[in-house]
Amino acid sequence: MSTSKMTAREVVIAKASQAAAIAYEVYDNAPSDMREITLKMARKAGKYVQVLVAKDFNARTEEYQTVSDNLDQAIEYLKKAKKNMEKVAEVIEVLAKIADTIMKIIEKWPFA
Amino acid sequence: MKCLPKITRVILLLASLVGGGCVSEGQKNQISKFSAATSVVIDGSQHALALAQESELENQIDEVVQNEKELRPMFFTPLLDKDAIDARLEILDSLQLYADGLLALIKDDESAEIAEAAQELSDSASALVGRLSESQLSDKEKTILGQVVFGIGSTVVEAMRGAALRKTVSVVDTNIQIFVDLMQKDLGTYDKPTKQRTGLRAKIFTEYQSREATLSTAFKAAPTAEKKDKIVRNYISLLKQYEAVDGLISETHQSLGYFASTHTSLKESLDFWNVFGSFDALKDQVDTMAKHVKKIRDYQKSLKGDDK
Repeated sequence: MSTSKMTAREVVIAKASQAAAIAYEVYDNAPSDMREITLKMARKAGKYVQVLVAKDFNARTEEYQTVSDNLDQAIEYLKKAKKNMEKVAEVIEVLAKIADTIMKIIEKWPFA
Repeated sequence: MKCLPKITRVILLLASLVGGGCVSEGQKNQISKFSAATSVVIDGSQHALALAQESELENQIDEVVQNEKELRPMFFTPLLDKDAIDARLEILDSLQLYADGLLALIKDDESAEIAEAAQELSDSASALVGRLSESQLSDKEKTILGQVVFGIGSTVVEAMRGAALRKTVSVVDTNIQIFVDLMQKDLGTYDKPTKQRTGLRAKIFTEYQSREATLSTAFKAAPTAEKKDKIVRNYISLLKQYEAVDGLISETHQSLGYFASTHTSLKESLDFWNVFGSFDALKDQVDTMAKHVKKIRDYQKSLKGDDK
């Protein structure tokens, strides 16, 4: 993914992760008297990445909640639609009952 | 005969209106595909989130050990706070319910009920006609009447199914694209040439590097071959663990893309003009319409006794 398609927050994390990866490479290749200090530097760079990712994660929470609410509405609509479909048979049954009722009225009709 | 053309026109109009809303087998297959893609995405995302939380804990343990800190509960806090993890888990649950709702909607539970109701109506109408005209409908006439009622009932249900699907899928599609974008941002990317990572891939990689450095330092300081052996084994296990987690995140990232495109394809196939886009779908609908119109004509003819 090129940085041009990323949000500003993602660019910060991408660059920080690059810095951390390079810092660990520096530590891997450091002479013995520089290993401790370069490891500290690398760990610190890594820690910043972790903090940034956690912040970014939590920043998205509200957007997730909005999508979740919209999905819940859609689920309710689907349930209602299914119930309405089941009512078609009920309507036909009502028509059958109407026909029965009409017949009973005709049977009791005094001029029949 | 006088009223036949008028009724036929009404039925044709009704059939053409509801015929456009029918859900084709292809669309039902797409819903099944979407449901399968949903399961993959839910499993992958839940697993990735759980592993990210575990990795965070492992990292915190490593930090405590390295810095020889005193044990305090505040050193062990999860990556995501309760609201953040709940929001993600809730949306995954909602996606499962949505996919289940789509599957329930395309499942034809109504046909048997409509057939039973149509039979009842046919019996009642037959008795009524008998009472009015003093002659019962024949068995054939009763069957045709039942078929016509069943045909119209089923067509109406199909139209309702199509309308509900189109409306819901269209509205949800935007939300699915937003969800996929959010989850892909959570999981993150890796660009090999620049060594740039984002999201969980960045976090997990830096955690892995930190723990690898701890093991590397311990290896150099280990006084015995036995201890060195143990560290090497831990190192290999760590490497495998990292590769598995990173691989899962990468696969889930890809699955999310497929999941989003499956839903968009479903939306496009339910689009009004696309309903007629496929010749087969159009032919099916015309055949269904023709079948219903023929049944009605036959029924009318049989009532008038000119079916010979």
